[in-house]
Amino acid sequence: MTNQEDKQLRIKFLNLWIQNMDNPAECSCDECFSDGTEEDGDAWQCTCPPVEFETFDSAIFHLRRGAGRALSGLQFTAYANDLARKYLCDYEIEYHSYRPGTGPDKGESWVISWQKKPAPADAAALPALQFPLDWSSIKPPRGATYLLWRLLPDGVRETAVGDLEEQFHQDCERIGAVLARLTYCEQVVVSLLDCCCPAIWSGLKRVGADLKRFVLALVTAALSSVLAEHIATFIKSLRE
Amino acid sequence: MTPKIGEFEELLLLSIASLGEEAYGVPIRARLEEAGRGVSVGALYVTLERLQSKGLVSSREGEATAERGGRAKKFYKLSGEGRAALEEAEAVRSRVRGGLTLTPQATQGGVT
Repeated sequence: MTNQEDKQLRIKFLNLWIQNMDNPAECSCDECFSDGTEEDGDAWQCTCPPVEFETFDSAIFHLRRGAGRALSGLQFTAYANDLARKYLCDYEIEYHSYRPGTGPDKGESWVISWQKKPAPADAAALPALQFPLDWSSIKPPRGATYLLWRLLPDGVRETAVGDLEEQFHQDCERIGAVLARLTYCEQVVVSLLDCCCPAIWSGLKRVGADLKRFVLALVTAALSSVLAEHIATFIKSLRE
Repeated sequence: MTPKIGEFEELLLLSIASLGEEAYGVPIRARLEEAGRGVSVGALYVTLERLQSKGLVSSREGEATAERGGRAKKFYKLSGEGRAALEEAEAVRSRVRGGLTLTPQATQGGVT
């Protein structure tokens, strides 16, 4: 199985899981992870498309960071903990950070069990599920902020940088941290161009005018010295 | 005499007037963007400063919030001169327009 196929299978798997989270008892197939019972005791006819998950361990699922971005209704940069908070908080979840080559997947991942938790979520055991992501702890790119701070005029830098940071946090909620950072950098570049280009242009024009005056003075001096020499030669020839 | 204002300055003054008490950088930019006239934050503040130096708007410092990195908001308000400048700009437009009415056909080349 290629990485791409593996990824697609994971996404399919996760989508099916989430679709059935609201009412897991509606389906009795393994893919929906329900217990197969209904309130009236009738057998439930599964309408889920047949999906095979032979490549996965029958009990756990390894969810990499960023998996949430493949799912609708979550932010682009939603991480596994967002996903877990939203859909999987009743299930056994453990966080693992694998070193390259030591685990089933390199890097960090959440391991989600199919088993429901026997007790309510334990805040100490699952801190990431208990607390919402604190977007204010995510800062905009420092370099871009510094550049903007240095190059904007005195009177506007404080409010302009503040506005951009406020916009950045709104964008984080809306489109995720990665795109928000890109938007921030784009805004900085455009702002600098808007603010600095007129100043650079007027500076060039000023320098250009000075340069023109300097060249004119130089040419005039050269011409006058040449002319003076010619006049002196002429007067000398007259005297002789 | 009312200072003359450019097209972008006019749009800014209109945005400030329409936002009322909540007119600071972020909503002003959002309003302009909704109207199809996106602007960078640098250009916005340079223009706002210019409007302030012309006496067309006044500003006051707002509260500093954590999401702004502890930086204060700056709220803008249209001054009497600003309102007069807007009215003057509108009057100039209507004088130039005369009796001209642009219709959907007019945008395709016809004028009624």
